[in-house]
Amino acid sequence: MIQIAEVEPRQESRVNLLRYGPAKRVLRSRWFPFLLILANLFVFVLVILTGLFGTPVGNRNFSIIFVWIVWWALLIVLLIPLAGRLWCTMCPIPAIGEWVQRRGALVPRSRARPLSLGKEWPKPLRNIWLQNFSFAAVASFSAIILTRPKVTGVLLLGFMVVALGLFLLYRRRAFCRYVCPVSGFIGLYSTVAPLELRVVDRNVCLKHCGAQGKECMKGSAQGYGCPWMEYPGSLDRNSYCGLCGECIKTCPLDNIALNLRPVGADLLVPERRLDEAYKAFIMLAAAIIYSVVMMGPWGWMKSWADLGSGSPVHFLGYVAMLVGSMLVVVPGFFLAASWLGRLMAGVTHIPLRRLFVAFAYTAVPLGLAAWIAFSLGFLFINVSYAIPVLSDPFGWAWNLFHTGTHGWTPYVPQVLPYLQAPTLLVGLALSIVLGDRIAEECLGGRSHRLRALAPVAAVLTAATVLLLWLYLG
Amino acid sequence: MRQMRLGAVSFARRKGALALAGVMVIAVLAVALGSYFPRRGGSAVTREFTVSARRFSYSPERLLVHQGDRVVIHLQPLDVTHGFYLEGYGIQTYATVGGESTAEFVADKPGMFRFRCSETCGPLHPFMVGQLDVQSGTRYTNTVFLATAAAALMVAVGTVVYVGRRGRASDTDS
Repeated sequence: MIQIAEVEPRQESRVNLLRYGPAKRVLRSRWFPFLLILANLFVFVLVILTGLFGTPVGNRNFSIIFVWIVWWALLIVLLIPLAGRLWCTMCPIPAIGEWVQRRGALVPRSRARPLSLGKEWPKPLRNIWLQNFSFAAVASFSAIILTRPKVTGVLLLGFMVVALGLFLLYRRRAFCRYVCPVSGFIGLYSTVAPLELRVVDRNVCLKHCGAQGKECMKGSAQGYGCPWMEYPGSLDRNSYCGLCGECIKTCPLDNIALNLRPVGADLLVPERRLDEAYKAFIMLAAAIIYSVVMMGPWGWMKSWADLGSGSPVHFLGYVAMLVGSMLVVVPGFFLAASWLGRLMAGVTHIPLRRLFVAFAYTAVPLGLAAWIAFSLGFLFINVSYAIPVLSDPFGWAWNLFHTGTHGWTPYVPQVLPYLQAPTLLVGLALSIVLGDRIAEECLGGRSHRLRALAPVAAVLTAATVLLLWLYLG
Repeated sequence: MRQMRLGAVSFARRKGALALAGVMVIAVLAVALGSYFPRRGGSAVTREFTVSARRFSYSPERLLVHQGDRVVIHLQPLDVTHGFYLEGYGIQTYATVGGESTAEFVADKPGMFRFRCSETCGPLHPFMVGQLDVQSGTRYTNTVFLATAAAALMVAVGTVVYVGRRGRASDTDS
């Protein structure tokens, strides 16, 4: 009990949104998040249909424009930085599988056994390595996925089928927790968001255990047990909480809080893992390589990345460059910086692996900033494609809302540097501040921590300057 | 006691928020300063480029001019119809295969400006990009980048000093 009390988050810096009646009523209703999921499922079905049967011209097809421009930009620029895993709350991909597994979509049926073999997820895979590799695989084919509607349609349909299969085999949301390539990075970057779901008082949870307790885990007539297999009583990071709100409905003691909190609070929780460290590297590397290939003027790189029109050998070269950057080059810089920092601070008794894994989290704020800057770049330039596509989602010359003839119009490109540069510099500052806290955490005090931090700060600054060069140089 | 702690937390948060606002102001000023860097001495000349366009790249992919130069670009598509839209200047034209179109303008704004295909030309059309570097100052090609890179260094050093002082203050307190 003492141990738990020691890690209790500082409540004074939190504002519990569930104290406000309307918010509580909405989140306690069974219609939340069902209606959001239903609305997104409608759009998702349209995305798959337009992807499979619509025009092959990407910028005239609803699937490409609404998934890779509108949804992606909303996700990276707004949802993740402001609300963490809010997308997972309303994601339609696991919906069908979850409803099949629960034998219902809205209200828990007390006697219904789940339609699933209910297997436990294999222990060696209870981490995000699979999500790291699934993201790297999808990223390798991104030039095709992002531009060919049929590939987007097949991929998203495939996600849904895999999710359904895993719901039938394993307990609860194994797909979201361990497999989905999007969920992995949303989880990592949700640690930055100023929104969290936690318990109000951990002692209340501790006293309310036993056969009658833990409704949040087991479920009740009011709601399902946590689909993400998390125990809210010990939740101290956003990474694996899908914000589905089931625990808000099931907790009989009203002990769940939805807090507004300081930005990046989770990153200070000293729970560091190698799989998450690699996720941070993979995302930073992907942001840099995507910026080079998609925003840069180098045509040969685009033809290397495009398996559909380039040669397989060149494509393999591109995959080697992308995956090599994700798994070797960026981690290599951080490893070298950690080694140098350890040497400079004279703390060679601290295992290098510990410093390396801990300092990897400094790539989280900068990585998110890089993705925001990248996404702003194509959002402002390409979002006007969405206007005609609304009237003509399949590219069949429809004009449903009389916007079908709207031409491509890049919006305020001259403003972009004024958005991208501050975003990157704020990301850099937050990363260095976090690096200082991590150095303090690893060195067990304040002495010499700046020496340990200096090489990592140099790597972060170099990455920022590289990104500035790619966007403005 | 609790009041004092709350006060300290709120002060620290306000200080942190102010510091981040300062970082944003530095970044915006850097872009503004880089964009309005005094133009290089010497007379402006006319620079003429023939830019061939093939799915999904331009050749040459980077064009270098000096601020104040009159720029003439002849667009020549080689495989399908391609367009040319210059960000920041709003110049737009297109041409069909075998044809040529010409865009003329005065490069009065310094910095890097992307030009991109404005006619749907295939799957990677949204990523068909080239680059115009408008040089200002005396030696450097892009003052916007240089100003923001300098701002990044300033922010990095400033943040290290900031966290270093936080450490010293805490040491003194304890």
